[in-house]
Amino acid sequence: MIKGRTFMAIVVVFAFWYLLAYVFKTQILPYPHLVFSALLPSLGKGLGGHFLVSTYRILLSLLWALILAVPFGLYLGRRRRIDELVSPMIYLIYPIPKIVFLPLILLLFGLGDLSKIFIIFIIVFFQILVTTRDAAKGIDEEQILSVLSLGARPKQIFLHAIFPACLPKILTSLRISIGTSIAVLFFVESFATENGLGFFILDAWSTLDYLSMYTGIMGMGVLGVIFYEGVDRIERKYCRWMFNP
Amino acid sequence: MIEVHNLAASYSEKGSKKIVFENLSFEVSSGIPLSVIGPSGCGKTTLLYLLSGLKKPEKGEILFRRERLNGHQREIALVLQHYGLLPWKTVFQNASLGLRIRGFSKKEMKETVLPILQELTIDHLLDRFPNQLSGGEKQRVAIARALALRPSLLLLDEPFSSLDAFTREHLQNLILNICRQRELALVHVTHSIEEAVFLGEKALVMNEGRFDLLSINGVGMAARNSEYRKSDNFHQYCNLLRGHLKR
Repeated sequence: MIKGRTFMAIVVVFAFWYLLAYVFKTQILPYPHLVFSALLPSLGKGLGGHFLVSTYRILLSLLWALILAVPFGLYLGRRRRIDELVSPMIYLIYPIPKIVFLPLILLLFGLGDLSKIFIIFIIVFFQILVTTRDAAKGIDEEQILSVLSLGARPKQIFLHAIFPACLPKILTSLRISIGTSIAVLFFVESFATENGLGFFILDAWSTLDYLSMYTGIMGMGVLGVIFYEGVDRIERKYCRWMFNP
Repeated sequence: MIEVHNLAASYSEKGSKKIVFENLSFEVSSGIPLSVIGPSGCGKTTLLYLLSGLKKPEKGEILFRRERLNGHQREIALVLQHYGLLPWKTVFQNASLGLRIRGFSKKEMKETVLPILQELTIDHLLDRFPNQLSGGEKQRVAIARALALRPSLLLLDEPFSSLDAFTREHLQNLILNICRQRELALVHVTHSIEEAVFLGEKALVMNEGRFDLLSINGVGMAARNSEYRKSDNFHQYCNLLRGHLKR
């Protein structure tokens, strides 16, 4: 069920859209109700399938980035000397737009899903890595001492102190990564594929089918909402302490 | 119960070792609480970390029940200056953390922790998180967590420094009662002369590498109450400590 604030946000976005469509009066920016009326025909053209393919690509990229970047970031954050060695390498690679490696990635992973998933993964990996590392660095040492003073072993220190302390920031980095990954998704689905929302949007654009194009854009919006809502739910469940001021 | 022989502690700064203190010797037995007092940076907290096994001494040795202390020891409980509560754990989870780490079952944890929380009158806060508690309540949870391990030596690091005067005095009384009832040995670090005299029967004054071990045994633990705070005896010991700190 849509909550009050979400409903208000939808109203504001659509009101703004209506206003722009009214001002510009162009086929390239149709009224929202016309886009909604094109939703059923778009589903007939396979919009649902494209949506699922994009969801799969984003989900897999984010999962792999989390699985690899979170433990590595936590390790670097708690090992100052290794961090001092590794950080310069991270700072060297992080700002380079990973898209420039596209020819190499296509050569290594082929034209299929793997290369697309890898590009999204490698971009969000660094965002999650740097945020997680900084979160682990910033843990209040008294919290570690407190668990240590109870006789905790390294695994228990990680479980009771380090991971829970970093979780809110990991989830923040995940939120940032969702936005980035959907932006990159559009790019990676613009070549060597015939499925995914990016392909659907570009295909509709090339045939001047603007109504279908906007249904694809709305699909990307819905994709973002689903992922963001998922992260919010995880946060409400596992970071309950933050919501009890 | 605990003996300290020729203890020295140091820390590293820019690659070189700086001595915090050296040649420190004293002993603590149950029923004779020790107050450690001195200016900031004299090594009071470092001493407490050494006694708890969290740090290793540079030189010397610490004997607990005549055995050399080497790392964490279950019978020694430490309450940190800012309580050391984990914000993501509820009062019950925080208080039972030591037991959970030792693999106690949920039933055993409840049986051990709930009576302690009742004794400390915080059993109605079981499901609250630390950010929902007052300073005094947080301090009680930290004490409950320490007591849950059934320690024989309780170490307190400036336990009441951030509390208001009323709560501070109330908790000081509570600590003395707990130590008396459970026959706990107590070492507590403080900045406050009054607190050192009220809680301690001996005082270790640490000042610029010099140590003075003083007897401040005004009255027995049972007689330390609001009246004792007003007595001439209490003020005399406060002045004695003040004199040693100014030397």
